[in-house]
Order: sequence, then structure tokens, then C-alpha cells
Amino acid sequence: MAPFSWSKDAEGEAITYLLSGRVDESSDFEPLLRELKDEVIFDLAGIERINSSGVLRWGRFIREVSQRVQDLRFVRCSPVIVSQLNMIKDFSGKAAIESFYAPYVCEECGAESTALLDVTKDREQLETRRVPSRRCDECGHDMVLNSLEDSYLGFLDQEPGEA
Amino acid sequence: MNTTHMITQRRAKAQGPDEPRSRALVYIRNNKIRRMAQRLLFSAGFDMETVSTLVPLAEKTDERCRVLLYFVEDMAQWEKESALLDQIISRSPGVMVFYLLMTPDRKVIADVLANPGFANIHSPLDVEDLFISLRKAFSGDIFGVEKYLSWGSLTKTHLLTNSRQKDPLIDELRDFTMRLCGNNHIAERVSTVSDELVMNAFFNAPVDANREHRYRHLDRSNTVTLGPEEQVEFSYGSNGRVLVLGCRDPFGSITGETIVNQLGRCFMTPLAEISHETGGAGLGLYIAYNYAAKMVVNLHPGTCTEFIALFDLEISLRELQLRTRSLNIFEATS
Repeated sequence: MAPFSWSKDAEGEAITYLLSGRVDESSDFEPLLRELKDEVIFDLAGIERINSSGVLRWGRFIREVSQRVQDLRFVRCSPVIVSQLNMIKDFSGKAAIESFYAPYVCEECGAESTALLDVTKDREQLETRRVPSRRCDECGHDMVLNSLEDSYLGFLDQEPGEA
Repeated sequence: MNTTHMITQRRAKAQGPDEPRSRALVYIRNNKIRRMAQRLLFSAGFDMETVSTLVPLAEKTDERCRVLLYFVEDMAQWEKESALLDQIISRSPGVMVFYLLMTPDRKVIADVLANPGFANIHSPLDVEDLFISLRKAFSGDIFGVEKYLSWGSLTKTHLLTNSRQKDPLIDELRDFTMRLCGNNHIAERVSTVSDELVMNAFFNAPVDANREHRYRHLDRSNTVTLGPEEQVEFSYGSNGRVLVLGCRDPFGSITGETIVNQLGRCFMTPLAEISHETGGAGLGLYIAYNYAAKMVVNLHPGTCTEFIALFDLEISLRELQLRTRSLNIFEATS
């Protein structure tokens, strides 16, 4: 699995940074931190794994980011990121979560897939702890969220932390 | 020869249905669960004695009584009985308590972890797992991943002496998991737990002759190299239903109290707080416990420690979250 890396997508007003790979003891956030100012969007779809050393490094990084930038948003959070949001306090700092991937499972045939959910567009369902319906590509049956709704969507109740 | 192997072999003496039996006290008000417990206990070498109230439990514990099975059906029962249970356990230090928790309530788990003695948390629905634990408690033969696999299951073992060996090992495990079940989520969980266990073995476990931690203070980006007699043994295997991995260090420096204290602290609040001052002590264990279906810690103080993590390949993550995740801590007695 690839180590942590990042790239920049400068379209639009805010700059989007695409973060990917594994976040661990070897992850160096300093070069990225030096880049950040004003409005920042982190695209987190590519984050594949985070260990406890990575959580500590990420925690320090996100505190610095929260102090440095005016507006911080997370988009396309991978299930790995959602897991950490639900497990670790202040994992997102002052970021607003705009979208995230949800894992689905077909209870009929066991097939799994993920779908991107938008916190604004899907608000009505998410507020009542439901996810949009989805059909299994393999057998056509309805799929369910591959996690308990309260558990996976719990992070939506968290207020963005103060830096 | 590895000392751990000697212990295992010494304890694994031939036993059969006529071996001397131990006594187990059972406080289970659910008839179906109690019948299941009776079968498991008898098969594991215990005679079962049912008690209908908690009060006389302390009077019934003696040197033949090794185990107490306590079934928690719901939060209301726990709130009513937990204080009394605490008192009973503290008066019976030789008794191993198995908590059968019907629902994985964080509050109950935090309370159990705060109890005196080691916590052995089980799902009453996982019969096979409970039998293995009871058998381990009876025989004292506690080490080894093979106990959690079926006869004939293949396991692979790596002997590690350098913390940089972690990444290729995890790549191998990820590949193994994908070939085994093709499930990305399980592969990610297996990778993360392996990562935590190996890092723990290299940075937290090693102690010097004075039992002082050698590398705990180091930033984890450093490389730790252990001597040839200090090899970390990492094993994994599967029987098609579960994937098991185990990480054994030859230091035996972690205590049961440390494990339950660190885990308990993380369960006290809805979200674990990162303590930068303590370097996040316990966070790795918390992540590993959350990511695995079951966690087993085998301790032989001063000699070795073995962490075992199990991943259920048959049930979805959704189903897994409805069940109590086992946490079993066993300590070798000599």
C-alpha cells in the first residue's frame, strides 16, 4: 500500500488537496501544512489506512490546519476516515464534512459496494439515520448500509471543533 | 528452545473425559443460554453449579471453583447488579469471570473493564469461541493461534527482528486476505490490526534487564532492531470462516491491568481522546479491538505476551456490530 501523498487541484475558489495512501508513523504533513491558507478542501477518498501513530500525527496536523485556515472542508471521506471520525475525538478539527463514502452490503448474496453520499443533498434521509436505497449489481436485491446507521452516521452529530 | 513453547508443551498434557473436573458457578437467568453454558462447561472439563442469586456466590467459591459465568441480558440488569458483582469478585481473586454480554453496550464494557480482575468478555452467541476460552481456562494451555482454527488449517509464521519488516508483512497479509475473501474492508481491518500489534511488539514490549521500557519513548518513525533471541513471532492463518493473526513478543512486559485500564479509558467516553502527552498510549490497542471481531491477550509475565486478533469472514460488518466483541485475557499461572 502506498505511503501518504498529496496533490493539488486548484479549480474553483478553494483549493482542493487530494490526500491518499496510508497515514502512519512515516507520514510527513509539514510540506502540505506550509501550503495551506484561507479556504481549504481535503479530498479524502484516497486515504486507505490509518494506524495509531498516524492518528497522533493527523491530530497534530489538523489542529495546526484548523488554526491556520479560515474555512476547512472534507469531501469524499473514505470509510477509513469515517471510522476514525466515529472513534476519535476532534479527528476533523474545525472541518465541515461535505460528503463521504458509505459501504453497502447485499444481505441476499453478500456483495459489497460503496456509494458517495452528500451531506446537503441527502440531508433529509441522513438526519433520520437512513441512507439512500441502492440495488445490488450482482443479484438486484436491495442493499443495506454495511454498518449500523447510528454507528456509521454518528459523526454527523458532532459539531466542528474549535481550533 | 523458545521458552513459550516449553510452557505450552508442559501444560498440554493428555486429558480425557475422566480427568479431574473443576467447578464453575453460573449465574444465567436465561434458560436457553444456561443450557448452552452447561454443555460447553461440561465439555471443557467443568461441573456446573447454578446460582439463582448473586449473594451466595462468594460463599460458594473455593479452590475447585475456577470460573464464574455471568450473563448480562440488558442494561437494567447490569445497573442493578454490577456493584454487588464487584464486591463478590474482589472477594474471590482466584476465580476467572466470564461476562456473557448480549448487547455490546459501551457503558457495560467500560464498567466490566473497570472491575477488579481480568475481564473476559464474550458474546453468548459465539459458542465455539466461548468453548475455546473455557478450555484454555481449564487446561492452562493458553498460547497459540491454532486453537482458534479448525484441524488441518494452515498457518504461516514470520520471525521479525526489525520494525521495518512491518510494511512487507502487511502487504503480504493484505494480499492473503484479498485472495481469501476478496473483501476490501476486511483486508483493511486485518492490515490495521497487524500494524498495531507489530508496532506494539517493537516499541512498547521490549524491556531491559531492569524491566525498563527500551523504546517506548521513541517516535514511531525510528527503526527498532531486536536481537536474535528477541524475535517477534507473527503468525496468521484461516479455516475459511475466520482469519486469525497472532503476535508474540518474548518480553512479557505488559500486564492485564494495563490492558484493561487503557481500553477502559477509551470506552469511558463516546469518542476516544488523543492524549498527546502520553503518546497516545492505549490508542493502538483500542483501534485493534474496534477493528477485530475478537481480541485475545495471553500473558506470561516476564516471559512473553501474545496478542491474537480474529476476523469473522462469514458475517457482515453490520452483523458484527450487533454482537459483543470478545476480549479475553489469560495469564499463565507459572
